[in-house]
Amino acid sequence: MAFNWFAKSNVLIPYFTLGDPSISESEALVRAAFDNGAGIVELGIPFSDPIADGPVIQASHLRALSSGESPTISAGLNVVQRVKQDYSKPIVFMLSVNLIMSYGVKKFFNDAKIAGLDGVVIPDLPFEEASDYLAASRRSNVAIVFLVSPLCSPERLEQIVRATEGFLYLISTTGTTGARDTMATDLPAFVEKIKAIRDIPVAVGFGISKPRHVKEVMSYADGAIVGSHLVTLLSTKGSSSVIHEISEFAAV
Amino acid sequence: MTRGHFGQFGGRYVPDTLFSALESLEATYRTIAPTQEFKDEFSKLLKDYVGRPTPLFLAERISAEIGAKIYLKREDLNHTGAHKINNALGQALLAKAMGKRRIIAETGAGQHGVATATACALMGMDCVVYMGEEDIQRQSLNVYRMKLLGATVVPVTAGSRTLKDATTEAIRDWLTNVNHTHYIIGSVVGPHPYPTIVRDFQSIIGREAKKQILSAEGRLPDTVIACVGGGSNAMGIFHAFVKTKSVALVAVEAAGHGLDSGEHSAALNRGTPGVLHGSLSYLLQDSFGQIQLAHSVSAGLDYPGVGPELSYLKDSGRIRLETATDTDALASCRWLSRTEGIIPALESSHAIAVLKTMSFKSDDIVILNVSGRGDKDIGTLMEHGL
Repeated sequence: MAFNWFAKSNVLIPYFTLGDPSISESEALVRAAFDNGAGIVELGIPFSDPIADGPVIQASHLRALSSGESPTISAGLNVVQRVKQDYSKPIVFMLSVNLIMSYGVKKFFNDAKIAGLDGVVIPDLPFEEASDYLAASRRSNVAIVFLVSPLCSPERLEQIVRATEGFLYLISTTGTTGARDTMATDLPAFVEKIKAIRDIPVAVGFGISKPRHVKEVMSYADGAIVGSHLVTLLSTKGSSSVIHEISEFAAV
Repeated sequence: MTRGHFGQFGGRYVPDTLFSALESLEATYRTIAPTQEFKDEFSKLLKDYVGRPTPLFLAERISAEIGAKIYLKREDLNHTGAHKINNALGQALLAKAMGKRRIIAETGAGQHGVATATACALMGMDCVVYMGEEDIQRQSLNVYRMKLLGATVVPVTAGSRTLKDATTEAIRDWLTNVNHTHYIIGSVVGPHPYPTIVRDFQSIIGREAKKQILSAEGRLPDTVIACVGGGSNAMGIFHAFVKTKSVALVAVEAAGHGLDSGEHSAALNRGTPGVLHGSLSYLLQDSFGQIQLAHSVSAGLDYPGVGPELSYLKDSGRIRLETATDTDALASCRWLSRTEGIIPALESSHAIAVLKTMSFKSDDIVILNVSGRGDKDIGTLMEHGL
């Protein structure tokens, strides 16, 4: 498998929750994000009990789940299928492992391939439990993007760096998703460790909320993921502010 | 079977940030727990501080009524009033060995929160307990006890505001403060190695019961009964008997308003396999994998999941599943109170309820785990006009 999602460096990766505030608005946001400089879009499928996410994303999931629509995997794949007719940039799902397990692992990767989904981030699926998922991913050519934190042991880091496809998602701080004022400072050295194992793009997430964070991340990594900050903006100021913020961040 | 799995169940479904903490916990546990020093310190606490061994009491009046010999394992007589203290002390000792001075815990009925707050007070550690707002309402006495013991009780307002959400919030705290914090999970749930550690620390219940019944009756029991929420008191008393196939193990889940009402906590009876809070196990979930709300009159059973080892024992046919409704449990609480002078916790009352629905032979020996005392439930009992 070869994924070339980082032909250009400094890739901005915004996150949206499917169905918050509505599925059609999520689709419009994905399109607008691509039009305004996003290199990859991460689309979250809402789950009732997301343990890796902070209060902002959890609240967004609960809004989506109580909206009256069904923001399911199938609904997400429909959005992907429509957007991919007009855009070639990658879309990845971010979702809890239980949603895929419930959908069926093989069926998920088959349907994802048909819809044109490029990859999937599963925060609570560690490498050690992933063999069925990896096999299905290889057959379907839908990438599994693994997450690592700076707390990862050298032995595990090597396995994860070799297993991930598309890019490696580096969790910038301990804790759950959520915007923060300051970010961890030991990340550049950690990215070097990753690159020494394998020349794979590294995108940094968890805590990015300001243009200076994006600039800082891009100085040592290949991509910056912005989630909670955009979700907060969306719920307080609406989609035009979100798109404006994406173009500002993309211009850094 | 790979390490940390019970058949297909269990595992370690957590974000990478927690992986190293779980590895270090497992390494500490495997190194420290088998040492004589740890064993001595733990046994001494269980004896001098908790008051173990707890009695195995032949309940003659209910035995006569049921028509079998019913023995009660009196975990309600432990210090702090339930079996939860066994695990809280064991894990606090582990935290001490790991050099972690801040302890967090989740609690439903408040018994695990009280046990953890107690262990922390005893060992001079900081203690933060996450508790759903709804549980705070129905278990106000335990909230007060935790505060008196010096713990900070954090109300959880997300989701159903019960044990499920308190657990999620505790995991979040741990993700953020993992360097200096140990998370004492209160049941045989969560990512590996928790289900094994909690079972091991609770297995004293079954080991004592086995010794006590051999001394009282000269033979093993025919049946062992325990209620199941997450499953820590059940695994605690079952573990010593799992390999002895002649002993029937009965797990009693909360049927709430009835198994067909959709308002119950019977994950083993009505759930499907899925991942919640870091392990694969039977779960109450909808067809899309969204976790459903559990219901039980007893806060300690009000959880949509169950321990992975119990899921495995279910699939392998080793345990027998029974249920009791809210109404059954309330009636059984009154029954045991008036017949034997023991006010059981509403959780344990579910186990007591099946004595009346199961059939026994007159020479059957039954051990029932009275996992906790009912004082904490007085408010609920009064509300239901008992």
